[in-house]
Amino acid sequence: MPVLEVEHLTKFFGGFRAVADLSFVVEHGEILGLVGPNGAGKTTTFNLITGFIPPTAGRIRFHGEDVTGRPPHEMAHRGLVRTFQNTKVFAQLTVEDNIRTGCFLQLPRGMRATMLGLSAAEEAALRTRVDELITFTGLQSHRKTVAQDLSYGDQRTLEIAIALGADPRLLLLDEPFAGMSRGEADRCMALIHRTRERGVTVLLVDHHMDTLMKHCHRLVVMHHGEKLAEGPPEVIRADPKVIDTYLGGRVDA
Amino acid sequence: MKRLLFLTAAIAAPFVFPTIAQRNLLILIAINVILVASLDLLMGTAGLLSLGHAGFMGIGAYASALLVLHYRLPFPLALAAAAAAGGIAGLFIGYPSLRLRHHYFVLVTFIFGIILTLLFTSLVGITRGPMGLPGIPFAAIGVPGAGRHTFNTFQSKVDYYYLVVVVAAFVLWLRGRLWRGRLGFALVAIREEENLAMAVGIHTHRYKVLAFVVSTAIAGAAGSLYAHYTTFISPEVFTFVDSFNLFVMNMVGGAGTPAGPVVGPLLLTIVRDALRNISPVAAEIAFGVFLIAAIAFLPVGLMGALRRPGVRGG
Amino acid sequence: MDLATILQYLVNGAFASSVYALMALGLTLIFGVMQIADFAQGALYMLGAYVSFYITNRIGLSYFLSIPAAMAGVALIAVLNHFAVYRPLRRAGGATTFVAALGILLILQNAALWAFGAEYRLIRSPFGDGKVTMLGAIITYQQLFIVLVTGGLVLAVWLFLQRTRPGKALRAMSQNRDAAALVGINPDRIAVVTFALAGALAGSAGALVSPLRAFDPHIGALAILKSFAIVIFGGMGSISGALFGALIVGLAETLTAAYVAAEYSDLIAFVLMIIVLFARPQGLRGGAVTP
Repeated sequence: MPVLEVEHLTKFFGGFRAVADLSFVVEHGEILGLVGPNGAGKTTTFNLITGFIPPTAGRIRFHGEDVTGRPPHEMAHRGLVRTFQNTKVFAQLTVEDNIRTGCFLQLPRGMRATMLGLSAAEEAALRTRVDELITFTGLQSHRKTVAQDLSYGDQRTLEIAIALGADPRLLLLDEPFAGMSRGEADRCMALIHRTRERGVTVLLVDHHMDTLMKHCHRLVVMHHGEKLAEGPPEVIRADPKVIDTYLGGRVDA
Repeated sequence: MKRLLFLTAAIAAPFVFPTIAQRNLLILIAINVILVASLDLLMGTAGLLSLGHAGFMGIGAYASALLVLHYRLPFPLALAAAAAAGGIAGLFIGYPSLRLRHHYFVLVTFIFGIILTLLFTSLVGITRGPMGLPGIPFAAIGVPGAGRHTFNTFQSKVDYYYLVVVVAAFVLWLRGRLWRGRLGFALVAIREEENLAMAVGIHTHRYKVLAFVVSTAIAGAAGSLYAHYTTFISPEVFTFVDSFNLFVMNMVGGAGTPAGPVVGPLLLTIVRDALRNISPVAAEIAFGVFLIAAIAFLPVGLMGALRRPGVRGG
Repeated sequence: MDLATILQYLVNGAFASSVYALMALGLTLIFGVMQIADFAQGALYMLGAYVSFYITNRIGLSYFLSIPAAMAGVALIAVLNHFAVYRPLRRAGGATTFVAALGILLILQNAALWAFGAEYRLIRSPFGDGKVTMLGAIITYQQLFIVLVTGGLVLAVWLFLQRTRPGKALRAMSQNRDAAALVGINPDRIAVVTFALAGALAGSAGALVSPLRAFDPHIGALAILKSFAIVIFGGMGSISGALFGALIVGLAETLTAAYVAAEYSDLIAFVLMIIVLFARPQGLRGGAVTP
């Protein structure tokens, strides 16, 4: 069963059609790339899938369950976690505390833990988890650094670490390579691959065609809110509609 | 440790300041500590501004006073009822308004405070309106039915001071624990980056409401303590100016810092009282000037300026 | 219930609305252009009444002259507020300016207490007890005067905003501050104009109301709170919203006082505000400073 099924997703903002009749699936364990020029509707699609805005029409199924219109925190509960296009981290907290907050869903439930704090055992368990994530993402040297003091690339890495804290089954990354140098983008991609090896399915949004061509198992190409093409990179590369939009033909915004 | 120092100072205080006027001030400061700590639950963690807190204090005060006056409810129950009343009012106001953007929430709390003042004034049948409620019995704790000698009426200022200090210490302890729990995590995350908080699974609305209800419940309890100390309450002590004072105390002391809710009331009550002895009107003017200066130059408050960045509250 | 009674309520309501209209107009302008919730306007309203009192009773000039004098004097104080407090704080958030505004209110209120004393003052109305009866409803000349002057001032403000260069610049700035700066509008100068305008309006409200009942330095507080609620109800930044809101609240207060109980009439403005905040947070006509 696919991890995510998007069926006929549509979103109108007033009279403006941002996403139109979009349908695609995300298979377990793959890295799917959502590509398209700016304004193609990629981030809107993200917002729709993760519950930040309600769709005008269409369905979203996560592991077979209809989750259309559910709010973001419920999506996270089910294992669907996202990052944001303009980097969002908890700016005034340390890297450590950022990831601790990301692990919110792992905190014990109940009134006592909510109001009166964690027991020593619970604290230890949390610390182990946070340590593991810090090592996994390579942020050991910045453990106590305040997030807003990190370099841009490290902040982006922190974003992924925070998201991983929520123990996602599907991770949605919104333009993870934006503003990165070649080296930083490669390191980021390596992290994404390692994440996938842990059993996390990844849905990437970006407009760097070449990077995504190299690393994604499949791609969905969007244009003006519609799906232009879907399939493995070789197929996409040869698709005449894609060539027309991206590699030749008119220049779109 | 700092905490021990404060505690020792708090316990020793009535003996260092033996006059009636001084002890009166101590009690009022202690009550303000409770109120500011409750406000800080919102401001210091989630960055939520509530400008109607005196209103919730008033609800607790009137609830407690009326229950004891008309139904002879024992004080501990009345205190609990006051907290419950504050909490319920908080739920009623907080649940819908915490869905709004922050500006609007602040406005709602502010206006609700006004509405409460007007209600206290106009519901004359219940609250006796502007004439106020006199003759409120002193707080008294005892074992029911075990005879009068187990009863302790907190009539002396020293007794009452310690009663309030015990409650204040409990509230401060609770606040510290809250910081370390799920609620604390959630509130800080909400303040820093609300969308990200949602994305990692935090039901932001629910936690905001929870924090607000706890905060207003504590304010209600403080109201009860106030009522059974002054034995007379009227709508004039629960106005927006009083809400405003609490906010200033929180800000000047330092929102989100461990010692802020103690430093703020201590400093401002003393300053205000000292000025008032010179000239009441000049005191208020100076206070206004002081206020503007404080918010302009010290937005993180005294203790906040001393705190290292990156240290989460607690 | 007969026509005369209805008319009487309408008259009373309209006249109550007038005062609110002037205050709400000033508030909404400041909010629309400067993004400041200027609570100090309450103190300006109160000072308008005092200026009028001193000019009429102490200096002995005509009451009618005291009105423009109050407007000018209070406008000056409003501009001073801007330079002393709001301009230095312009980078700070809304909460800061709100608190600062309350601070100014406290300062001015207590300064008035110190300067004028706490006794109630009263100006004798130049119209005496003169009234007119229309279709069974009684309107005093003073009330009529207030409604007419308010109408005139509102019209003047509207013309100012629509027809004059500074007025248009003001509207531009409320819609898009950056764009306005780009086309050469000086935000500082517009700020001064806005505050002066709002101050004049608040001062006029105080001066108009002063012959009606005894006043003391505390009248500003409730007045500004209600005006604020009206502005939120009508939509912050919207002129028609402010006027419409003032009308509704004035009427509602009168009816509440008549049919329910006088003590509850004060609550109406706030209840309306809370309702609107939950149903339509941007207010009835929310948006930039729009007519």
